[in-house]
Amino acid sequence: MRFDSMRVVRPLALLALVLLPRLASAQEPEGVRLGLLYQPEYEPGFVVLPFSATAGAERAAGMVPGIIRQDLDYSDRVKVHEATGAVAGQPVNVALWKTRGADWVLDGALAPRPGGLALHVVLHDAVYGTTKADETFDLPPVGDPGFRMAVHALSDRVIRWVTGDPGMAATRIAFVLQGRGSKEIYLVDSDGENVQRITSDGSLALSPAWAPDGRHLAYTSYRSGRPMLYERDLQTGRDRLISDRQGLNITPAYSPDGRLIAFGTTVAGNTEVATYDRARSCCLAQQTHGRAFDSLSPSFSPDGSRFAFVSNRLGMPQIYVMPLGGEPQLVSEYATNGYNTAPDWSPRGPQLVYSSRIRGQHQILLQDLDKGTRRLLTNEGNNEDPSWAPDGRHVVFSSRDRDGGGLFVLDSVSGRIRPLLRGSGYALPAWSGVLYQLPGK
Amino acid sequence: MKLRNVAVLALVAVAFGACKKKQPPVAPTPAAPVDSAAIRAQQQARADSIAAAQRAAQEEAARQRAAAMARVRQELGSPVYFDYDSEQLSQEAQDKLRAKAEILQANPSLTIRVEGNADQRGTAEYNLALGQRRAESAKTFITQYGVSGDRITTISYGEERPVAEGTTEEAYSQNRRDEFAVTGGDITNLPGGGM
Repeated sequence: MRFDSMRVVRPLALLALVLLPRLASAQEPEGVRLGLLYQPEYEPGFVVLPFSATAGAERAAGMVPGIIRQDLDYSDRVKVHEATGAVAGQPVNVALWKTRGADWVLDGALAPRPGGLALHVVLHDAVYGTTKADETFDLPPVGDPGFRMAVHALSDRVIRWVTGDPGMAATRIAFVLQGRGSKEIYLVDSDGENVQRITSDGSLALSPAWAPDGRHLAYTSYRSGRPMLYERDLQTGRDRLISDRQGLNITPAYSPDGRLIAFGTTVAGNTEVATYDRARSCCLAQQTHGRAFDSLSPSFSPDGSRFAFVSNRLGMPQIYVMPLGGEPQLVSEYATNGYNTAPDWSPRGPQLVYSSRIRGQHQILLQDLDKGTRRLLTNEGNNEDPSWAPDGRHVVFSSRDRDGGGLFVLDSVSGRIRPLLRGSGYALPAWSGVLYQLPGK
Repeated sequence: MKLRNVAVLALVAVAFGACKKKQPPVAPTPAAPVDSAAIRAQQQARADSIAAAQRAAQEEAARQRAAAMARVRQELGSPVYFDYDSEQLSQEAQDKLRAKAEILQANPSLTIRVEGNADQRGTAEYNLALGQRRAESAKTFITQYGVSGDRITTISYGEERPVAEGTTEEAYSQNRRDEFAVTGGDITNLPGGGM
């Protein structure tokens, strides 16, 4: 099985855990001490049984458990066991599954309903022998564009039942892919399915950023001959112009309330972070005043009061945090030859991920702003442009040389890395918020 | 006497006859028009050869001018290169930019675009800013020579438009550059007042 083979990564991460701090301290310049540190948590065993189906729902029953199983595996919150020997529709022997390592057992039944399917799921707590949840949800029919997303939303609901935390299955990742002489923006579901091209400018399209509503994407395109900032409405397919200032209009980021778009733009020959009032379609406000230096790549804190950004005011690019209308503060570790770029602020707390150059290669660094700690999340190849999932735990990044290049999803807790899309020319991934939620709790 | 006289006359006659016989026949009068056509042809040939020489000279001048223009155009379009993560202008870069400033001064209708580029070692978004800084750096230098900033637009392609592929310093150094494109007007005057 695909998800079992992925587990091979884990012992390697543990090995790195043991070896790396020593290597790092031996070769790093003075003052830089970073370890690749993972503290794997206990992952409860989970079994997804085959779902039963009444006439007309067989095809869905053949697909849904597999999608959920993979989502749960990708969540890195549980250890998925095979439901070997299980028969759909048979009474569930929870005690038996418990002896096979399951802490949780999910059973389901699908039936057609007008306009789609009804999915009845039961989550058994095998440890306590109780029923954790027993609910029925409406799903679109198989083949409907929303079908897989609705199943992902069920996976997220299961994660919430089991852990109390939000999941990240019902999400998409926007990214840039190099074509023949052009770069276009695409979307892909969190499980690597359903790749969809969004732009066809035949030009350079860069730096997609998700609006909190999950319906709009801000991005830079050179289609007019120079870099301008646009916002795409994914439902209507229409664009509106956000900024066509002379020079750069790049690296957009939405404030969490969706009111502002912060971006990098040229002011008197320098790149500065400015905000555009999206709600009022006006009122550009310059946020940084670097004068002879550049400031770009903003990313807002979850409460929207502060933003992280990149500035080279000390020579090489470093990460700063500043309150809107306040003073910037250096947060990355200053080193003479340091190169820290592409910050992304966790939607769930005071954690930044960014790309940091270590021994000539770009690695993903996690910095806790409250604790003041920094942790290396990768240690081989070049790894760039990290973006948090809405669970505040997983990070998508691009690499041009890891396993032949592509987009990869990293679990910041276990250190597990899975490929999302493989190949050359993938860049600038941006993880959406949760795009679909099932009704109820 | 009479005989002598007759003989003399005969001699004279013979001599006359002989003389008359030797004399070339008088040409028919159209001789004059033939002569003027030849002259005209000669004149025409002379004029033609002068014109040809002039044309050749003009062509040669045009050729030289075209070559000079091509050199100037090439000089204007010639890229300027940078050190790693830097927009500082080297002596060579400054010399090239000074030559471009002179071309712009000599051709007041000419407008250009400076296109800043970075190598692939940095990260994509920061390299956009770096490319912009390189373009602005060249623009600032040229405007110091009295060329209006309105005539120079800047654009950054970051690391998106490499001219050399690969991960060698050789490739990187070719990609860290400003390119120069004419966006309006034309080069009609050579720098330094030459036409």
